[in-house]
Amino acid sequence: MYSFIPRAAPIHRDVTVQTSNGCQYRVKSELANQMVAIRCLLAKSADISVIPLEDIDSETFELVLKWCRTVRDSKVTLNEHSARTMFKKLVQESIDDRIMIYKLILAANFLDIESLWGATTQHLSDEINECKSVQDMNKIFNVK
Amino acid sequence: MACNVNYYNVASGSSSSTSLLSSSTSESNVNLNYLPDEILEFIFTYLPPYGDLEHCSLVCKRWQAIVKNLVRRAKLNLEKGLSDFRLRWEIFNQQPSSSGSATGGSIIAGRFAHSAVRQGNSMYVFGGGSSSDTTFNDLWRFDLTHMRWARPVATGTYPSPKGSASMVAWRDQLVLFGGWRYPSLHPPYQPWCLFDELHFYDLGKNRWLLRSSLSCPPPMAGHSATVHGDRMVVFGGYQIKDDVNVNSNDTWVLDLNEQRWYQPLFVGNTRPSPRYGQIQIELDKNHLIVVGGCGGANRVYTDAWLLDMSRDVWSWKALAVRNKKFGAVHMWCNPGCKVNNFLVVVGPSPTMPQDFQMMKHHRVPMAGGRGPPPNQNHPLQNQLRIPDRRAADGQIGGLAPLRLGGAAAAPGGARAGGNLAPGEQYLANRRVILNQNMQQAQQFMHNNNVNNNNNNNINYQPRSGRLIDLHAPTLPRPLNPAPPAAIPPAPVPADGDVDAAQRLQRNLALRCRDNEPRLPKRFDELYEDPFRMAAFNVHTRSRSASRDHSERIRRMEEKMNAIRNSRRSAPAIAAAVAAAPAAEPQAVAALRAPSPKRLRCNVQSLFVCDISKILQSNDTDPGLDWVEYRNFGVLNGAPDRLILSSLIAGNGELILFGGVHKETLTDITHHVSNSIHFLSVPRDII
Repeated sequence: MYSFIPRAAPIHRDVTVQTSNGCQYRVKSELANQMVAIRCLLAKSADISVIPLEDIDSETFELVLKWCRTVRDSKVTLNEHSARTMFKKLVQESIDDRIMIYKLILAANFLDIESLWGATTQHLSDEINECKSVQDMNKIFNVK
Repeated sequence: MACNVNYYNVASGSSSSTSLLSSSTSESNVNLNYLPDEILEFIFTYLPPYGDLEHCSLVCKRWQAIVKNLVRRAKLNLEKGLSDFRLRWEIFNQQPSSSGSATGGSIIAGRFAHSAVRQGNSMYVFGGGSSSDTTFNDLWRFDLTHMRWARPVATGTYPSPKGSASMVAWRDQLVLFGGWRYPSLHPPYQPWCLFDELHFYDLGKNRWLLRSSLSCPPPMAGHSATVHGDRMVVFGGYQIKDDVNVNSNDTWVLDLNEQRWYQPLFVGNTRPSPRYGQIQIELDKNHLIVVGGCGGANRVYTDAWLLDMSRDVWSWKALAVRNKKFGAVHMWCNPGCKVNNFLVVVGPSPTMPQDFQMMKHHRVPMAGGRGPPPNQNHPLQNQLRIPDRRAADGQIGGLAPLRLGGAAAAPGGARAGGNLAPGEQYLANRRVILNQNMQQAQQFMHNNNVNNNNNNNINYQPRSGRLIDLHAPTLPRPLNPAPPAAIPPAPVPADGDVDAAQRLQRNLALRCRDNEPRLPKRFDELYEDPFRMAAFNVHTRSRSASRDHSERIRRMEEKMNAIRNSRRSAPAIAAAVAAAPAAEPQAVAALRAPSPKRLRCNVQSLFVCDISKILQSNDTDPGLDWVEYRNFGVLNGAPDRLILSSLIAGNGELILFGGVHKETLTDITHHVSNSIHFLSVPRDII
């Protein structure tokens, strides 16, 4: 997962995606191209009409789409630093609780979106870094 | 600054939401353990592997298991990276006054020949030579968790200033022994000082203690020491024995509990030849190996010896060194350290053609930024170039200094026009300072010549060249022949005939090629001679000063590039770094103009040696195997070629600090470094 990007052909049509709670989303091709897992799936069997995403619910998927849109629209080249700032903005605007970040990580892992994966994990590790003591970590991350 | 604000808002937002969380019923059990193990492990890899990771392992049992796994994997990755030469260098330079109060405080001054040791999550650095012929006696601590220098306030009997002392860690103390120091200038013409002081530094109480015992080793410097159980074993070094300066191959052992020295008994007469500057590595409680070292001018060793301490009577055994052509060169002024089953040495790149070679073939106009050529092409281009060099051998030797000077001046000139970026402004300032230094130097020399009657060598090298005397001990007396017997006694050319002196240098260098078959045949001015043949360097001073001047400028530019390309920032100032992006992209664009190929040939290389087979009992021929390098051991972001720096092992990485540019040792102000370089596995390869 970490560094190997499969050489799947970019998709040219819009895809339909169904999330775990039954909602269907029509995803534009340029956004779907960022999701490498979808590209691989379509490369293998090109005639799938609807792609099921069993582990991702609608709320998470909408955030994923939002991120993909931000990446597509951003004029700055995507390196570690700019991804960090973009993600922080996204978190500030749309994410209310921490579990959304976790779900985003899992979604990025599943869909194989490298930019989102890097940004979310970096964000979490920055938060861990900010903690001064073990008790802080226990409290913030709610870990026993 | 804007990003900082955003971040804090997010953090406070999250913490207020966690309080909401605990009150809500459905999500009350959500926590970071929601994520699977592998993802958590990946998140932890972002953390600096020192204090923060330790904190994480204390949080809960699951995290502890994950951290343990991570540490194990990091170790394996480093070993794999070492044998595949797939690592990268990152530089760390703590800025003294940036980002407000977060990184306030003093930072360490640049130094070389210091002693460094790692204890816990900190690196301790002591002493060393400075940039201007003085020696330090300060102890600094670099906190690896927060990436910050701090200076512990110590009490007790402070050690004298010293460099090339040995410092090891034992329990919670640091043991410091030996060393040399620059002579003080008043009264003038004092000899070098070597020390036999033994100091203990208690880390808990921050106190220095001086220990003296009846039977004490002679004063020495450049020796090596390791700790085995409760003993510290010291070997070799440059010593004063019966009023004579000599290299030694004696072994002294200090019982650390009783603080008593003794000399062990040996079986037989085989011993390593006398040397200093060697690398000594602890294999286990009863074995150590000694690699390399220097036995005087033109006697650089690349052999390895094993000391077996398991019985009452100890024995030395010579080890076979295989794959010597991939071995490190100059293992006496370059540091090495042990990483599990490997010995890692940093040193000058081997057969890479010299700077001006590159410029001859690939010097493209400076202003158009050419993208960095891909790595794969590089060895191929080297091969293409080498036959070319041999063909043109005769001419290039004579042209060497001129071409270097000319080409080096060109990039500075090409970029001087127009608005100066902050980097260039710094360089311009630096040029002014260097000019002033040079004028002062010339003034000093002139005064010296006028005032003194006896034509001693010492006059012409007023305050520098002492370190060189250390390495070629008989040179201060002009009548004694210099150590290589074939060379005529040191003539002091009465006229400042620069070319004759340079030709003499080159011829002398040619006679000592057998020790260094890998070095280019004739392009030695940069490389060998200024350091070894101090006496002959005398009248090339004015010329070399201007050449070194432009060298230094170019090196500074390369350094800025290295900083731009590979920066490692402390976690606390990561936000600050993010907040100052405005200057960076433009500076990157402006400074990327020099072709990256030029960067690579003036940098350190990595040499890796497999030492796992030494202690295996079923091996009839134990020895060291040098690992074949890729791209001459040059890795991304490699630091400049410095000597007398220190290399210690961190958690899953190697830490290089300090050092001096060898070519500047004959100048009034040496170019020393105070930046830290980390050698680690790049993230993507995980």
